[in-house]
Amino acid sequence: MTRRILLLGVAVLLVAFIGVPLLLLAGGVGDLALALDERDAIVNTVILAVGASAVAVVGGLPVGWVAARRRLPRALESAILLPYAVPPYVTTVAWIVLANPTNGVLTRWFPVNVYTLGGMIGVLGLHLSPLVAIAARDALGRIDPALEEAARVSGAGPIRTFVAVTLPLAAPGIAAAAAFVASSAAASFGVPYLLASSAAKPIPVLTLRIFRALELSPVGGRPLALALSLVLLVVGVALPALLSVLQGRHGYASARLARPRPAPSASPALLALVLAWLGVAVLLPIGTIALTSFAAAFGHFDAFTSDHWVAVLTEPRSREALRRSATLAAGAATAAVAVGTLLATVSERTPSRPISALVALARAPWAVPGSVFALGFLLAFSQEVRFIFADRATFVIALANTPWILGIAYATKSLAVPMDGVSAAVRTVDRSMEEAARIAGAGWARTQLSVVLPLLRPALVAAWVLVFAGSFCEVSMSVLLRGPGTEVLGTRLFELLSYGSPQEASVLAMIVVLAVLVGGPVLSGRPRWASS
Amino acid sequence: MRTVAVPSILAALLVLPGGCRVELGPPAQAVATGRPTVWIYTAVYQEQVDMFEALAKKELPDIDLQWFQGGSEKVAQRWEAEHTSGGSPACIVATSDPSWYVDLAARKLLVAYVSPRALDLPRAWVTPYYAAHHIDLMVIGAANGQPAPKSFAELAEPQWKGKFSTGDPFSSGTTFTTVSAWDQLHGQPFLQLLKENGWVMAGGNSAVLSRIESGEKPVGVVLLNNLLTKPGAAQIIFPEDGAVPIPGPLAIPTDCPDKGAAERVVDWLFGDSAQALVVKSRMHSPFPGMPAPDGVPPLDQIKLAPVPADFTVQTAARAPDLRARIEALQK
Repeated sequence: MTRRILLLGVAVLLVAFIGVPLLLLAGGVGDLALALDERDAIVNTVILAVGASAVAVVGGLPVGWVAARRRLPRALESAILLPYAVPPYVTTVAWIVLANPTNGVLTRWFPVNVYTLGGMIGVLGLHLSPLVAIAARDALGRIDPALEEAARVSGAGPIRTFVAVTLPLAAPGIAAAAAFVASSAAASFGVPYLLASSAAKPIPVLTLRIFRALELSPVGGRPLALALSLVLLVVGVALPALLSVLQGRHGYASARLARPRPAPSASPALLALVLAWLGVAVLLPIGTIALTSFAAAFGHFDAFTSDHWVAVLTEPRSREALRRSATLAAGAATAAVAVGTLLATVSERTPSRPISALVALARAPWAVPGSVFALGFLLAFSQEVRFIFADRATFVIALANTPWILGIAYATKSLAVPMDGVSAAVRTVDRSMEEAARIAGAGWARTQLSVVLPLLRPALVAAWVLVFAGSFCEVSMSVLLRGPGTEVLGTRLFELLSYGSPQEASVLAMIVVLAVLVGGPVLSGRPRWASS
Repeated sequence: MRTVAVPSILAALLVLPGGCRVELGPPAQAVATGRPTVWIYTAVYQEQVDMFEALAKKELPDIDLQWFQGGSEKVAQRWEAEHTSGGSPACIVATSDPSWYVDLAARKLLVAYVSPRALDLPRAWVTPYYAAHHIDLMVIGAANGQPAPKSFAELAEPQWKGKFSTGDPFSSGTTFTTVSAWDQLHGQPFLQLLKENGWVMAGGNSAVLSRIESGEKPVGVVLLNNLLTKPGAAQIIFPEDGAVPIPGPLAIPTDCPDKGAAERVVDWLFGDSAQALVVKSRMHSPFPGMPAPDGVPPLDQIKLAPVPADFTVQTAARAPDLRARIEALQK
């Protein structure tokens, strides 16, 4: 009964806040043949998505493995999240300073050019690699060590054990993260916007074509923009569904809890591996941002000043934006994790067509560019909705220009993050534990609260942190939806970067970095065995 | 059951008051309000909005001014989405993309209103539906201590090959207007010559300025306002073939729920105190005789690109063809 009530409530919310905006957008979709004419953009988007996913896996998987199996200094554990926590348009500006073909800092020694499809893949892959690292860390942390020990006792070497036992057990989580990265890269806008149009020959991708269609003509361009968004939407919803079907055939589950085991300190070689990744994904771009925040002139590191820090720290609007963004992101993360967990657990344990439809609906916003989803929100919620009762009282839903519309947009856009992460975690938990609880007399709610959620805790915390990090500096929806007095960190950063000073934008980005480094260990927690 | 239901109900109770309210009494009475509210959707920078907001509190105390600030294209997207869904609350739109106003006027979505004060404007800056509230200028910016071109036409010469950039005409309305002016004044082959000389079109005006400042592209075509906002970041060159004027029009959309209040605000925005703020915001006032922003000459002492009086209308009419040609250049 409890489950039905909760699902009904979630269904109403999803239909209202995702279904209605998407339906209103769908009404304006133009001729799909027009979208298919954009072959170059479609091909480039596929290459970008697959390439960024590959970079994220290659970079994130070893780091996730080290984080799961070895004790790392706390600062390093927090730093794993940094590439994702810093907004991609800020790190992209840093990469332009580092690797532009004219006077990039790295270009003097290496043949690198950030204004290429390869450059876009590298920047996006590094930005999204924490999604894979954290998913791998959690997936590996959930594996019962007895299984690996059994393989070793049976004579398998460490590589065979990893390939034959560890990897298949962790595969659902890692594959889900890889697919997630691919759909994120396909729907990303900031990185392609800053890099693709500066290329010697501009590189068309779908999000840029959508942006251009909307910018050229907010009305006339909308049908093409929506048709192109539909292509992204189909890919974004179909890819995880396909993965789920494949994993359904080859799934593994652990019948036991991962028992605590002492984590040895990372060897110098493993530490070097993590540091090498952090060097490329964190130190280079964030070091550049740090230097830029003190640079007297943008792009020149020969004269420094603290004026930009003083300007930002003494200015109330940035402080207010930071506070508001932290509140909204925390609320959005909590709501998204609550709803995403419910959908993930129900869809994994009692799949049905209505539940699958709800899951697809919840996943859809992630696959659509933020600016398009925000347009749907404007179409749906820019007017007050009034319910008049017997001419005596009126119930008014008025979301436009309130912080609530931002919080709801952040939560709905990010629902796929907890859903995918928690789904992968649920698949590795054997049903027998829930069945035992039910046999012992616990109802559905009690079983979830006492058995399932504690087992999923690392995945839930990781999902919360990722949604928070993604919402904290969100820009593309915020610039359209914000009202007076609801300035948020993303719009403030964008404003400073676009109209003010890139150095002051770098100061705000550094404040985000410091917040992650300080708050990371508290928020993300460590695997239980790691602290034992 | 209770462990789940109680927190859920509490959460719902916390959320509902934020986006919902209950009005008691007959509906007509419930919607009645006190001070008229006038929404202004604008592309001027937030710092300038703050200044106008503070002045309005003193000079228009009986009107509640609300602002939405964003780039010209974002303002247009938001307004169009709201209009599609039943009507935008915006009573004044003030962006930097004149073509949008031409389009709105053609679709009969603007109120025909000319502020009495706007009748003093030069003919090129006023129409029955919209009038220029401020003028920005597209000029040349160059890295400090580096040689700089003297004119836009010079950008097609070999010494500037691969050294200059502009904003993206597809995402920056001011850049599109500038390219349209070049197309009219220098002829269609000029754009091809620029492309062959390594023309990079990317981002907005701030991105152009960042490229100048970092030395990545030491020359750029950029708004004077951006250059004045960061004094000393780059040299300012008023091109010999004429800076391209970018008018910032004001208009009242027909969706506006309180046109009387909107007209009062428009009159105020064309008044002396608001125009003095325009100048303080480092833009030129369109009114003859107004002082110039600090450090630059007044408008009548700057050579402007000799575009026709109906240049904005012409640009809007030629936009599809010009966009197609720019897109072909980018391939």
